[in-house]
Parts: sequence; structure tokens; C-alpha cells
Amino acid sequence: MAKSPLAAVHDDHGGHHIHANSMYVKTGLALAVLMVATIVAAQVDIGHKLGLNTQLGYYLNNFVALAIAAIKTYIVVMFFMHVKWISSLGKMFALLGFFFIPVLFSVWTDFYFRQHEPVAHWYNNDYVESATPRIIGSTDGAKIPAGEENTQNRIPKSVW
Amino acid sequence: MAHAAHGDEFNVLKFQYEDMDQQNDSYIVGMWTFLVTEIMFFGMLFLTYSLYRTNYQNDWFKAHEQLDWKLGGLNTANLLLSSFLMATAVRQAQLKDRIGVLVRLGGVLACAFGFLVIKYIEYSGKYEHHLFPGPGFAPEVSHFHGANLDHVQLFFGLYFAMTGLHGVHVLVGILVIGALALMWLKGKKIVTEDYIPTELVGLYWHFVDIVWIFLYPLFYLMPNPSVGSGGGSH
Repeated sequence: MAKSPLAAVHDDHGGHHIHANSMYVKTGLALAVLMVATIVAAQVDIGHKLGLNTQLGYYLNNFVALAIAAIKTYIVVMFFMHVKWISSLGKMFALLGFFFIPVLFSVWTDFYFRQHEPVAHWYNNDYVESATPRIIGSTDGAKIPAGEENTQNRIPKSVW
Repeated sequence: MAHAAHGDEFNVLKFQYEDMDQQNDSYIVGMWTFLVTEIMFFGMLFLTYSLYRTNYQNDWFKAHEQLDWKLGGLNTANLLLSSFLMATAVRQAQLKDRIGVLVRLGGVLACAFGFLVIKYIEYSGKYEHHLFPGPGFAPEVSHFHGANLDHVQLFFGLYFAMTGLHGVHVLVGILVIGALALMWLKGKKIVTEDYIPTELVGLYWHFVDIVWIFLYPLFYLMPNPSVGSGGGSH
């Protein structure tokens, strides 16, 4: 079959769209620009540039990195993976996976607010090497030294 | 349409489907269902990552300095180029341009091999420095500026688990794309008459690219949590 020189043809026989080469080139270029943006943004202390306090700047840097990754994902899914042009049923399934991510992250809150690592028997220091009760109030996740009783922060077994 | 092969006609449209639209839709929905399970598979690791990254920000920042963002960036560009080539390979498949597809799939395979070679260089460097988690974990303490080495080990545990699982996906990608390219080379009607097999392999490959889009900033480009606050405090 002859190669079609047309920019965009609706192929009635195959029932699918053939997109212009320029669509793929533009998508590729957009992704390349965003890749460079990710690297540049990571070298810049955004909070300092904006005159904000450091902690907020740190969060901003993380937010920008993830936002760029999310935009890149959107572009890949929509254009390279053709989700923009597939049926509503297909779109629903494509969205489903990304819907599960926030659901999965609701589990995160459970683990985050635990005062010990999820390892059995941490409370009696039987497995000191693997069980790491956290010192409450420590942002660095400091752990109780081996052999020392964790009396102050121990949660009675009956509570959990 | 198709020529007679071994006495019977090759039908692109399978008997159980009404038309090509319905058939293509079924294939694409099926592939996305698989990708949903993949997203959840990787999602669990990203969940673990974000939990410990939040808890051990300073120690993880010191651990991440052992990774080379230039090598990671090279691999990001590598996967981006391969994704572009894969997308255009699907277009050439729609146009039934056999040589065009083969050239592009060859490019994708070259990128994928390049990715694994760079990954191998990175892994062997970490292994030589005893940064692989487990009994052999014995890092040079001075490199970590007072970071808790248990947390450093956790960082490298997740680094190897997540990039390793991603690397396995690249390896599987090489096998699947290689098989697809072989079918194009032999002119098998299942791929030459119907673009969908090429499209589905493409969907998988773009997914592998998406995972790396997140792995790269999360592991290689961490901002410094203690910058400007006197430095080095933890």
C-alpha cells in the first residue's frame, strides 16, 4: 500500500486516526523543554529567590519538581499514548490508574502517624536491629539506641 | 485487503467484533487495565518512598548526593528520545511503512540498551562503594556528613528496589519490542495489516518512560532541606 503523504487522514478501513508528524515532534519538544526545566528548577533555591522562609522554599522546590513531572505525564498520556483520541471507555480506564494513586496515599497517613516502624515486637526491644521506635517530636526520625528502654514514648500495648 | 495465506484469508477484523472501532477499543481498554495494575504496583513503592523521605529528609538528602544527576539526566533524555521514536513507529505502522517501523524500533532498542548500560555503570559504582543494602552495606562514613547510616541504607534500599524494578521493565520492553521488530522484519500479517500490536507495545513503553519521569526528580534532584538555615544541621 502506498504511503500517504497527507498530514492527517481518517482511515475508514482501520477505524483510527493517523496524526501529523508535527504533532509527535511538538510533543517531543515540549517534553525536552520540561526535562531541562526540571533540572534547572532543581539547581535553584526557589524560596531564596522569592525571599520566602527556607522551609517553604524547600516545599516549593519539591512541588515544582512534581508539578513538572505531572505535566510531562499528562503530555505523554494524552499525545504519545493517544488517550486524547480514544473512546470514553478507554479514557475511563486510563484515568482509573491515576485515580488509585490518591487512594493508595490515604494509607500513607496511617503509617505517617504511627509512632513506631511497622515491625513486630519493637516495644520489648527483642528485635532492636530491625525494630525502630521513633522518638516523638523528632523530625529526623531518630531511633531509640540499642539496649535502652523506650519508657518515655512507649505506647501501652493495649492501646494499639 | 490481505492476500491468501496457506489457502485461507487473513482477516484483520476478528469474528467476535462488530467493526474495527470496537475491536481496537477492546484491545486498548485491555492494555490500560494492565497498566492500571502496573501503576498500583509502582504506586506502592512511591508510597513507601514518600513516607521515609518525609521522615528522614536530611539524611536522605545527604544519601542522594552519592547519585550522579548527570547520568540520571542522560537516561531521562534517552527514554524521552525512545518514547518519541516509539510514538512515530506506531504512526508508520498505521501507514503500513515496514522499513519506517523497523528503523524506529531499532532506535528504541538502541536507546533501551543505552539506558541499561548507564544503569549498569551507576549500579557497579554503588556496589564498589558498598552502598548496596544488606550485610555488605559498609559506606564510607565521612561521605555522609553525620547522617544516620540506617536511614542512608533505607534510601539505597528503595533506590535499588525502585530503579531495579524499573530496569526490569526496560529489560522486558527490550524483549517485547525485539519480538515485535522481528515480526515486522518477517512481514507477519498480524503486525503489518493491523497497527494495534505496535500501538499496545508502544503504550507499555510510554508507561516505562512515565515511571522514570517521576524517579528522576525524586532520587537525583532532591532539594536541600536545610539550605540557608545555617547548613549541616540535622
